[in-house]
Amino acid sequence: MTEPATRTAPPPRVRRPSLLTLVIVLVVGALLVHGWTEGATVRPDSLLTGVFRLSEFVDDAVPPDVSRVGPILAALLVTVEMALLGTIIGVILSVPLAVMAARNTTPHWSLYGVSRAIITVSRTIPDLIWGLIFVIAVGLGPEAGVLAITVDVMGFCGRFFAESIEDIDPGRIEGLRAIGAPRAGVIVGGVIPACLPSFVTTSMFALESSARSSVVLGLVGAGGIGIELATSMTLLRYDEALTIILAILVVVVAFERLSAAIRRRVLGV
Amino acid sequence: MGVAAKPSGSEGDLAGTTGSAPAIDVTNLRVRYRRAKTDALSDLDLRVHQGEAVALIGTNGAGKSTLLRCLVRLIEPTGGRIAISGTEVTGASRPALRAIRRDVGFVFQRYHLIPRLTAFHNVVQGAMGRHGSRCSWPSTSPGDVRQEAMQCLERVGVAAFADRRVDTLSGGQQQRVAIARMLMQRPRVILADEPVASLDPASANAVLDLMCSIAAERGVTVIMALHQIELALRYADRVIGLRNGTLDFDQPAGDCDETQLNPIFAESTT
Repeated sequence: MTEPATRTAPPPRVRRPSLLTLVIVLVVGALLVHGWTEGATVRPDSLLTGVFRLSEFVDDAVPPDVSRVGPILAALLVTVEMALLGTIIGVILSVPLAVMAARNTTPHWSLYGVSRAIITVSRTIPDLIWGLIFVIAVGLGPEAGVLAITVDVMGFCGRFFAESIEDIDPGRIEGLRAIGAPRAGVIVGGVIPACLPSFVTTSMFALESSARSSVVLGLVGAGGIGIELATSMTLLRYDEALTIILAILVVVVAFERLSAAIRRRVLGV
Repeated sequence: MGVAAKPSGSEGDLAGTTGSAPAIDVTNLRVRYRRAKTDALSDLDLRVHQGEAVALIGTNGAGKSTLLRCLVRLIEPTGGRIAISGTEVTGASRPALRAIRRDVGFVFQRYHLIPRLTAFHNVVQGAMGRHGSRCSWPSTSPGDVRQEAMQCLERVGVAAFADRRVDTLSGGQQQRVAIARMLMQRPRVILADEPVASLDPASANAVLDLMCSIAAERGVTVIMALHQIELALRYADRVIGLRNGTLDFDQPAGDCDETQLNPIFAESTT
């Protein structure tokens, strides 16, 4: 009989770390050291000079030059429209994709696999790369941007729509199946209405992120304000660049406010 | 109570359509859930005539829900044979199964309505078996379906809430909407899985009154799983006790009293 009283010392201050912890620490440490030698660094001296150079940029940029505000706003409008169209198409395509990619509604396991694969590929390849790919496919301009955003949204919404379909209370589907409803009827009349709130909130998040990515997509020639920004920067027209950056800021914040308001309404009701 | 005289009367007028086949005919039914050690139902035989009102009683896990769900293959049986009104259920193809389900109304304990949709919308969906997916939304449904849906809501006494979202209604009202949706199917058989277990006694009586009087009016067969022996004796013509997946007891409701039925709940606490 081992008596608890024989233990007088408190537990040790430091436990021996497990093997897994050691491996993780070693790997992360090695990566950081190697990265430092390759230039992935944060050096105090370059930070110091960097701050001075940044102040030169600020000197040049303030006050912002609003002489080309007309074309800038026009390009910004196109950017917003790109984000809007891309998100709408992406959300619409995501719904059937998610129905196929949800375990409880998929018509067949092969369709499940295919749609999951489409979603994974759409999501894991970054939007800028989709932009590059679609510029090759349909040429420079906003159309490539719209397509890139569509695919990006499909990756995001497809996944979260499918998850919310899988989370549905199975009894509600059973209720309709027991009526003798055809599969399409169960989905249109039961699954989609029950998932609608989460579909809307997810779509609003997608719209926010599309607004941000549509700005950057211009940098690879996929239309919108990004190309204006790149031009101003390479021509060292920092005052003009600041106007563009401020305009982008306003638009992105507006999108976020709008989507937050819509989400609150949907969840609140 | 008023239900007692019904079976003989209704059998006559339905004889032409159903022939002599019993409304429900179950032979050697066996169900085993995946990874379960014992059968949920084992070698169960059951015959129910058209127009009969049967109460299924038994403890949780006795197999009441499994049996009811199995009858329309919401759960796939492991073995045995089921026929409803002479139509084979086991082995029925997908469209054939849909046709069978169309004629069988199912009432669930937790109502199983689609939340966020109005009571009217939910009831219209009851016609999906007959009219297909176009009845998944009221706006695309034919006019007569919309009319009938209102009549069904009126019949169960919740027509005033037609425009209300079902998740804003009380439990009793939701169960009435569920019954109205089931009426839209124009069922020949009603299966009710503890239809009143989530309701207070007053609403429970009201809902069972409603369901059984509708069944009596139309000569519909009813099988209802119930927890309360007293309700089973009041509303059923015949009481069946299930214990550990087998038929333990089967008598006309008039011939049994509560003391006789209590052991079904007492002994089977395994």
